[in-house]
Amino acid sequence: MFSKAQAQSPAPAARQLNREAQEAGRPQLAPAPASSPRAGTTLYQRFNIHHRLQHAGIFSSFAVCALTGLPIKYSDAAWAGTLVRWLGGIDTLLVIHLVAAVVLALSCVYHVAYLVVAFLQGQRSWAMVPTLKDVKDVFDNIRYRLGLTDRPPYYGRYSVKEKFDYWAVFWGMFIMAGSGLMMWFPGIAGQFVPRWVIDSSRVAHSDEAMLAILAIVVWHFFNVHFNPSNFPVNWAFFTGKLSEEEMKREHPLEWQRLASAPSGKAAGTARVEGVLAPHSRLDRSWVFVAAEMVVYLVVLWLFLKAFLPIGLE
Amino acid sequence: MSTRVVRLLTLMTFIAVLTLGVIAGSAATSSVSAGEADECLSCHGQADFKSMGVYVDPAQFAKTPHADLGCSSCHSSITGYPHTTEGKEAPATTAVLKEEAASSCSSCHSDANQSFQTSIHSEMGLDCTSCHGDVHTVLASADPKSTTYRQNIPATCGQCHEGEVTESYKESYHGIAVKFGSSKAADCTSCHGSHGIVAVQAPNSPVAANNVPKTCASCHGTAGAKLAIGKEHVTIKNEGWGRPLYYTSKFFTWLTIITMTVLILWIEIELFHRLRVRKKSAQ
Repeated sequence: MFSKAQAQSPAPAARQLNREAQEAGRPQLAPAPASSPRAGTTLYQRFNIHHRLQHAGIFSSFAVCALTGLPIKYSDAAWAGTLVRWLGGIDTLLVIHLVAAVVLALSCVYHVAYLVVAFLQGQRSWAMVPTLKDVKDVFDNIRYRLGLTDRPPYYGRYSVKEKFDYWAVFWGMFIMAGSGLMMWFPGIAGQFVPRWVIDSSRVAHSDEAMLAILAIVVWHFFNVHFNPSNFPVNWAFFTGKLSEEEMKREHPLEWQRLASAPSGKAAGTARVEGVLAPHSRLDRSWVFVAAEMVVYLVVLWLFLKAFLPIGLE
Repeated sequence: MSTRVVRLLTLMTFIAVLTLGVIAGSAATSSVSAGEADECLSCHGQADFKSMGVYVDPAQFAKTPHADLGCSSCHSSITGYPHTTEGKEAPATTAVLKEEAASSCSSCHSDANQSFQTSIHSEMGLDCTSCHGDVHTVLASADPKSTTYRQNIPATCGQCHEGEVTESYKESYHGIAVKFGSSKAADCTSCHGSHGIVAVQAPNSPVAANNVPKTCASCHGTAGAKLAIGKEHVTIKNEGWGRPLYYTSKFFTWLTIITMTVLILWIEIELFHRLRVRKKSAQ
């Protein structure tokens, strides 16, 4: 589980990058410095304590908001009444929902404040800003996954998936906090906007919440839990660290920058030493992969069956 | 014994006697009235009185707060058996009885009756029983089985007020919270009033456009002037004030359909890639 061998096997992405660099006459990637015998494996500190606390604040309060919001959205379902009773009645449930919502909003304020401070301290990073390369990466990824090309898209500090997730949360937070505040303080909202805006905010809150829950449970949980390489969980959310192998596979451009940076630091990532987190042993199991393909197809079918009628009616 | 102890004992004895007296007194009153009800119900509680429309379920009646009042408090014209009406030796017609009974609510509930007389409901010919149900089964509003218990009010009003009004209320947070037993959320009467309810168009109605901000503020604190623009009871439909809700719903539904379909297909091709690469490396 804590093997060093994984970190030493050359990733195809890194090999290919080197070949391309050679063809273009650019310097090739320097291998990571060999670790001293007494130290642990070479790891990459990708998320600092602030990143991880922001994520923890967001996911824990998100879960509570979802748990207390769903029985309101699906109030006719039999389980809704049971859940409301368990959580101490509807008035208590609403208080829990509002407290969690405030924690969620504060976690996002923490993130923005962190960004502002980082910028003031000169640690500017535009790595999260979408670029044309991200659009290209989407198509390259499709071609690569379908076997139309051998060249995978090379990601920097953030892959296109991660940028999508980040900006989706950004958009979601504006919709959810804005509509939530209008419902929480309709009297104040009613001084500025007519009531159809406040009424629509309830529809927006309920529908955007559903999109967020689906995106987290289906998409984000696949990426960080059910992806055969990460099953049952990618510990980076907790440790903030990636293995050399993961770094080469998922962020080769960042790995390349880091390899040529004498300080071992680039755009927020730092090379550190430590103990490798437990690694998934299911990424070579075709049964697991095939089973997941079936499960996600069923999820798609159930999803379309539930949502297409609402869209088409 | 000190005077203080004697005084204390005297006081305690006095309180004990007073308490016993009150208990005995109330027991005596109820036994007298209950006795009267028992006497009436010995006939009117018989199943074969149902066909005459003068049947009273003794078990139900015993549960109402009115049980202690007996029968003659409301049916005052009936003084004995055989029953007489207006001096004639003839059984009272049920129509007479009903009229008499309806007016007798006000002999105790005068405040409620006074407001009710000014209401649109009174004008339209409704009476106490329209909302509160048959007086022989009526329960206090605090009783979960009462037609005027908070959780039951939407259904009680919904007997007449059907359609978008009740539909939109059921879908609203107010309606959902009241259904789940909220002690805070608005039921129909919170905004519309109860006994003295007037037509929505009346200038003194709490839900007349000009009064809406103040009515909302009675729970929500601040009176938002723009709350007067629009309509409360709106369902999601492509029509009138339902349009903003309709297009908001359409926008988010399609955003969800497109986003989730693309994301799941992305997952599928990633998984497909794994199978394909495995096959390739196995060859």
